[in-house]
Amino acid sequence: MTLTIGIIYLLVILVIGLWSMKRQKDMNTFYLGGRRFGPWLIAFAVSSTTMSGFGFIGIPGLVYENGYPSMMIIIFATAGIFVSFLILAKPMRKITQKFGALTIPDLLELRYNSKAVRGIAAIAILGGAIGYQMAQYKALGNMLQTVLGVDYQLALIIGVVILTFYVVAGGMISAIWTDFLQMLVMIIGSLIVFIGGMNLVGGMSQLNSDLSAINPDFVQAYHTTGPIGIFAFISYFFIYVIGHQGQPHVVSKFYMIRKVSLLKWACIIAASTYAITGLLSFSGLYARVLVEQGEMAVPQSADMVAPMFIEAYFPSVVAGLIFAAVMAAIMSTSEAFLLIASQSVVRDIYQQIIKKGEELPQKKELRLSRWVTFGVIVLTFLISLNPPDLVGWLGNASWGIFAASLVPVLSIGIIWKRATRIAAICSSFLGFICSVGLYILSVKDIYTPALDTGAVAFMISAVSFVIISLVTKPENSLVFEEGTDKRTA
Amino acid sequence: MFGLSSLMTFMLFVFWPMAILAAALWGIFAFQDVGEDDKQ
Repeated sequence: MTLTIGIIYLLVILVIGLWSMKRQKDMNTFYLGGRRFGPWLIAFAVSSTTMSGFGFIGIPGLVYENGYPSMMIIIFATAGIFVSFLILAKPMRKITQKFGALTIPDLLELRYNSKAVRGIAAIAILGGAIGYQMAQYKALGNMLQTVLGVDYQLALIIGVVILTFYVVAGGMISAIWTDFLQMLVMIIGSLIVFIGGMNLVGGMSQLNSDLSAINPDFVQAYHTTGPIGIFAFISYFFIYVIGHQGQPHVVSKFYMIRKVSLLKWACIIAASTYAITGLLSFSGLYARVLVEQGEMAVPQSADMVAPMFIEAYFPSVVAGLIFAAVMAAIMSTSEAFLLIASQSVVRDIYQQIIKKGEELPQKKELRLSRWVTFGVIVLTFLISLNPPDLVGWLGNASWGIFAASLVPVLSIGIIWKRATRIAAICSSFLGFICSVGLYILSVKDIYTPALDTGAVAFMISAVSFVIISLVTKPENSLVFEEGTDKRTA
Repeated sequence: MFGLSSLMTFMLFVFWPMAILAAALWGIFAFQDVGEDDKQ
């Protein structure tokens, strides 16, 4: 049954890819879908790309090991979705429309009138996206291996071929439509597991008293003695509430919506659907209680907690649906990253920096976008077979890399007229270097800051951005001129 | 409540729903005056 549902799901995805293929005209339709999407599609795209393989498989594992404190990631990320919409959605949609910008580096070049800012942002996005993609491939391979019952290599190849087809053929149109379908599957799956599991463990109060008996720290918001202490709690706040605005694969969805006024619906739908899918992390708590009671086998690894729990306690139709949901979570994040990486190569590095902004014929634009996307998939796939340490580090640090190098220049820059070009260059460069550097230092056990490395890098980047802006001469920016955005002008 | 620490209860039953509620309220009250800017 699991196999049947898995295959049906993959076939539907392929059909969406075929259907979208005919709708591609140029770079604008390939990367932005021609800005024709309504609020449901955009909202589901935002929530499904935020909910990655890590969110669906990794967090239940962390919750199993650490109790409620790890669930803080989901709670803060829900708030992060709201904050990102509040600060970025409207100005981004308007500015990108008015000046014909396609990417975040495009927007940054317009804001600061600087190719250097564009270049640094494009490199940070490319580095983080390639790193993150590795983690998605690994999760995809593991999941398909379980569902299809073939070995890891073959499973990964099947997954990547399907991904390649619908992303290269259908571009953003198929990505957004598959996101929609994937999010629906994720919502249904999460609700079934949340409610079914809650009955299984005897309700909320029973669950918590059992957890508290295992370890009193498990029912706290942070550990008093364990690994997820108060500093982790504060780091989560910075990384997931504030850092969400810097996630290029998520916030780029903001400017694909049909009309600014529709953003109001997108915001509430995105925040609430993400929160619903986040309920799947309760499976980690259920599994922990059942394992301690001796009713469930001990999972071999944290990543196996959610799949094992679901397989053991739910009928095979539900298990199939949930496995499809997990594949969905992984694929929707993957496709967004692939498109964002390909975009920074074609648009930001090739067209704008190497070709100095020269317009390409539509057909050539589309062909180039497709080939580069294909190239990015092949390259990331080859690297994933035997990833060097640096790629793994980039992947683990990627949310922090995006937060540190993009949030100050994007969010503060878009609402604060006084921000200057020099400050943007220094801040995004410092953010990138610090987030990667500090992460490597902590992996090598040379230096580990109390807060998470991404949160520290973000603070360095934000503080330097504000201070350098204040000591350099004020500048005018095109984006604040009359007729752009009333709120920021 | 439910045997959770008070901060965790707050995060789970107040902060989390509030984030969604804030999104709803902001959504309803923002962008009322769209006018010219909203044209394609």
